[in-house]
Amino acid sequence: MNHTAAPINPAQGGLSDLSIRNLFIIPTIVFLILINVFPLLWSLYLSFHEWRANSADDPVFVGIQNYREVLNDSNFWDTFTLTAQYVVYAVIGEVMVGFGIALLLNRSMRGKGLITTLLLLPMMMSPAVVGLFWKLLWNPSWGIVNPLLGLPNDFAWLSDPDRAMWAVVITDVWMWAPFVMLLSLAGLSAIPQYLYEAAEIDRASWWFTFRNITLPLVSPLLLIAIIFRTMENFKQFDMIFTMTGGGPGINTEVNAIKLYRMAFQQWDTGKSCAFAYIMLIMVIGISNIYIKYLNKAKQR
Amino acid sequence: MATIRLSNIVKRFGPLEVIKQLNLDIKDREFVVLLGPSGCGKTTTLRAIAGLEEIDSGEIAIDGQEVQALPARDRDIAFVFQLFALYPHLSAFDNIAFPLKAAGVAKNEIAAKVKEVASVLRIGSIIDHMPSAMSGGDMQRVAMARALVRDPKAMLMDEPMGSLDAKLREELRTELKHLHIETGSTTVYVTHDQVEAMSMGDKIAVMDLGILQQIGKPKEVYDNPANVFVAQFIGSPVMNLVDCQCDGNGDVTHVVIGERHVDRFEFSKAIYEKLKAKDFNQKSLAVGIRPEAVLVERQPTNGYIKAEVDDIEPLGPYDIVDLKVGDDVMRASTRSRYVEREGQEVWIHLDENRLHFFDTVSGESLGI
Repeated sequence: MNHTAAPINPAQGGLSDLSIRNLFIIPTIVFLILINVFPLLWSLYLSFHEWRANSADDPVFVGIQNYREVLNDSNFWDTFTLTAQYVVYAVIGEVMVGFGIALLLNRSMRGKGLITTLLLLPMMMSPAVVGLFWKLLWNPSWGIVNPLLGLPNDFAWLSDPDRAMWAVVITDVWMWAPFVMLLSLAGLSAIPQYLYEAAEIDRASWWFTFRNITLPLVSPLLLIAIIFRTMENFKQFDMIFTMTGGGPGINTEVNAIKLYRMAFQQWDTGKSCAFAYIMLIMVIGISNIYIKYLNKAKQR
Repeated sequence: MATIRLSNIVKRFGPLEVIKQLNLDIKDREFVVLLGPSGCGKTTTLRAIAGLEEIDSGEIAIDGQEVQALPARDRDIAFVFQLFALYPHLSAFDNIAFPLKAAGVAKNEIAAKVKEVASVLRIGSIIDHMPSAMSGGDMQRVAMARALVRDPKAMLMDEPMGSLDAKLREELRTELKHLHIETGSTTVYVTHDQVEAMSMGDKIAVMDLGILQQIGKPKEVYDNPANVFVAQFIGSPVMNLVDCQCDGNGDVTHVVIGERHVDRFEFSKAIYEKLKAKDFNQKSLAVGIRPEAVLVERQPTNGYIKAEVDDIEPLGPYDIVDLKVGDDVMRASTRSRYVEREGQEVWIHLDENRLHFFDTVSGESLGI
């Protein structure tokens, strides 16, 4: 009797590793190159050229002139300052509200899951939709904000040069505080209960426990939330654009809106590419500072 | 330092009563061990004293002052957790300093106190280490240092050696005992390990099913167990417990074991007299004898009965021998290699002074 066993194919009936690669990974890489890597390199090329995307002329090499122009123009620095203000206010607001809610939710109580899910709804919406809705809510004569706050119906928000920024920041906090809450909640619930028991035995007050146990142990996740929100807010476009379009005047014209106007209204393509690269470098720089802190916090 | 008194403590988790009417008196400077199998309510009792667990009824008094309504931080007791509960982001120094910092003690005073307690516990060399870089024994010492550093009214310890290896436990047991003698702190120590209980406790409180079964000095609990549970929980190997009948014809007491009614141990008349005085029930009588009180001879000896060796466990300093007497099996501890082989015939007797009698229905000892 001489039965030879059939060769065993581990992927018999399924896909081989090779076909999985061809089917899934190659298309992904192709798309990534087409819509991410190529534009990135192409815009880098354009940032050193004088070119208008709506004209038939070929790009003209101008060296670092675009960069020099952006960095020397005081208007750009005003925009950067405005953007920085917006980022700082919005991130502080998001962290305070989000972390605060997380502290309140970090206990066993009825309906916790439902409350958490409901609180997460704002961040599941499209920013453009949020912008449009809040534009209605902020409307002085028939929006709901003024009656709720007991303000007169001529109390302008989005059309007021000083208040427009606050309205934008508050809207952003409403939308993204849940994100900070979610990460904080994950961090808080990962702190073992026995540490709090030990602190109680050690006769630590609530505040002492919060500063010396809760905060240090939740800080890695909180920092991740802050990194994400800083980067996102730095390039914030759609929500503000649908709400104010950058106005009144240029009072809410943050970097991304300025960039949009420069690239697609003034068609100054080369210079806007240079501007975009300056933004990119800044975001990378800021993120790296955070990541350094994050690594420090994680080491403890 | 302080006294601790528990009166009529009841604790329920839902419908389950985990502590039932517990009364316990702990004197100043006493080292009391709460001993029992897992789930007996000993840890819950300890947490209730600490204030980490609310009780449903009863009173807890520390130094005569009722504290059952106070939160843990107002009871001024220290607690060493089973898994140490060190703050993972703080060094050994900062862990030990934590209770002092929380109390707002001045910096130089903190440094001095931490240094002092660290030298007592011999952890000076690892004072800058993070908990993740410490061995189990080091973590245990740091946890103890953190508990001791602020001079609490009492020390509560929840199986502090539960996660350490056997050699280290032995070492720390001695250390802990010395530490207790030095500091003189009132200590309640929870364990399921009877060796720890016997070696460290001034008193042992044996618990089972949420009920305090017996409290007393280690020797008392060992020599006079109050019931079947205590008798069999304390002592290794466990006490032999064999159903028996007892009669007092003539000048002697006969204790008959097994169904065959031929295996008869003979004792003095006094045993029967004592049993009769206790109004014993012949139908539910059991005799208890510790393995070391089972006397074994290799030759036929007067007054001894014949038994067959069923199994020998050589443990080094002594052997545990399983002996078949009729249908019953009794374990004896003998000198090393005194009994040579399985199947061998030996002659056994029971040490009259170390007999225990129990009522198997109530489980209570008859106190002979």
